[in-house]
Amino acid sequence: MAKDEAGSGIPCCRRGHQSHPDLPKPPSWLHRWQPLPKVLGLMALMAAFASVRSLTLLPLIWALVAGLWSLSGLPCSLIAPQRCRDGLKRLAAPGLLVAGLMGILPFWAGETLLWRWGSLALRWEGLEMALRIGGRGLALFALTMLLLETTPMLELLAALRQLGIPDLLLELAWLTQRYLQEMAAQWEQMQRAARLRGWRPRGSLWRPGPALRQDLPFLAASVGTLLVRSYERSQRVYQALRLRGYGRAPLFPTAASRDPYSWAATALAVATAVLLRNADAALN
Amino acid sequence: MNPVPAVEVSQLWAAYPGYPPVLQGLDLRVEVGQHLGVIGPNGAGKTTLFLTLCGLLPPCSGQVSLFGQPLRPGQFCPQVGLVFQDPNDQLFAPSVAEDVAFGLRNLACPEGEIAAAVRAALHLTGTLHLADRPPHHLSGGEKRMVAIAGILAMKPQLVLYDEPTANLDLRARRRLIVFLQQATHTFLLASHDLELILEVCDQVVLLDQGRIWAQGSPAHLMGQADLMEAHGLEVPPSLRR
Repeated sequence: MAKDEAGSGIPCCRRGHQSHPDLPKPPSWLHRWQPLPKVLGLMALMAAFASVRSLTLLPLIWALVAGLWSLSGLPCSLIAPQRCRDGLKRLAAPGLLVAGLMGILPFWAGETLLWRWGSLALRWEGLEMALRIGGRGLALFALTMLLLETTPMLELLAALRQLGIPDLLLELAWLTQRYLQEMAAQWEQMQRAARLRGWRPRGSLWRPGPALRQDLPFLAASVGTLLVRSYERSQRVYQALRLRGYGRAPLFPTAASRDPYSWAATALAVATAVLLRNADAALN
Repeated sequence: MNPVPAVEVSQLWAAYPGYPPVLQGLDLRVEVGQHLGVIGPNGAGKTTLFLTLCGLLPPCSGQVSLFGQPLRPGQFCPQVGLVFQDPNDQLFAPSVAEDVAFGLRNLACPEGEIAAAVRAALHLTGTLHLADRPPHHLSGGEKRMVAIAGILAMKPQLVLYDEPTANLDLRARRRLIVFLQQATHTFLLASHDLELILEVCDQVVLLDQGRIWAQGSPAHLMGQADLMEAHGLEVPPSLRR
């Protein structure tokens, strides 16, 4: 994974910035779709996906997602094993919850028996619910990925500003994602320094016990130091921003989007979303 | 001598909340166009002086005037730029060009002018080729020059450089020296890199315990071994005989 020249140790793909720097930036159709119409179009699709109840529409949803993905020109390596592992590590807790829910629902919810083995009974309603939750969730996740990977962060925030999201919230979001990565890099650096002086993690948050209790003083001291450092850094960043007139102009300048093709694409997305809603209503 | 100095400080006392004063009755005059070096041991008050001069730290007492106008602490003062010791404190935008444009947007410049000014500032600092790169991916030297470009784009009349060569390799340091030698703006430069001061400054002040102890030409002042040693400094190698 690419690292910066200054050796800050933050993998490029984990930083907040324009779409993946280590990926080629093809001028794909989805990249050219202007941010504001793109956000509106994809949001309409997301709303439609989230409200679909019929299982028969799930393949259609996934065909739409696959079509959009191929139009984006993004490589499949985004969902390749290494990236999956990285992503899953970060999504471990919520991922486990969803996976657990999907695993339990077919055996717990509903009354229509499909198969029984002893006290274990597979039920149709539970299975349907699990497929619906999993299928829609993954489709929504894929659309979010598409939006984030094909839109520079600053333009995305500017588009959200045009949709009426307050400046303060957007600035907070931008600076938070920017400096969370800095904090993560500092945390890694502190751990590396501690390892070089002989420290080895003995426990894990996943396996609380005496070993973790031995680590706690070090972890507590590290987190404390990190917070103090981050506070000091935030003060210096704020000073630097103030010196350049922070607050006198919006951080995310907006420009009117007049590309007719972009608006046509949005209209198409909205029409698809409406069709999906109607089809779902008809099927139910 | 220009009748209106760039900086005029008299009897300046400054302190951080809850701590004893760092600057203790400091007097200083900097002429327009002057390149003034500020030397002194750690804790002498160099960074505090800079924070006070750009209005970030309100003084406890004393007078500070910039270009004949009294400084109003806490107010946006675009004629003064501060280049921080750590460029990571300054760079936050997703691209170099966006970062350099940040100050200009706050000055309400038209977009056309902003684009031209960003290009000019990047060209001046030799970083035009980095315009589209995310600042956090740059090397230490590149970050430093981009941070300087972000300040210069606003066309300040006075720039304060706090330890500009910290963490720079020889090549990046040399590039910075050449840039500072050619600079036409008034600047104050605080550094422990005495050879840098010798190369780019026409005057130097020795700051210690919040006061100025000596002022003069860099070669003359920094060549005085007794004075330097009395304030925890050394004569730079190029001045040793």
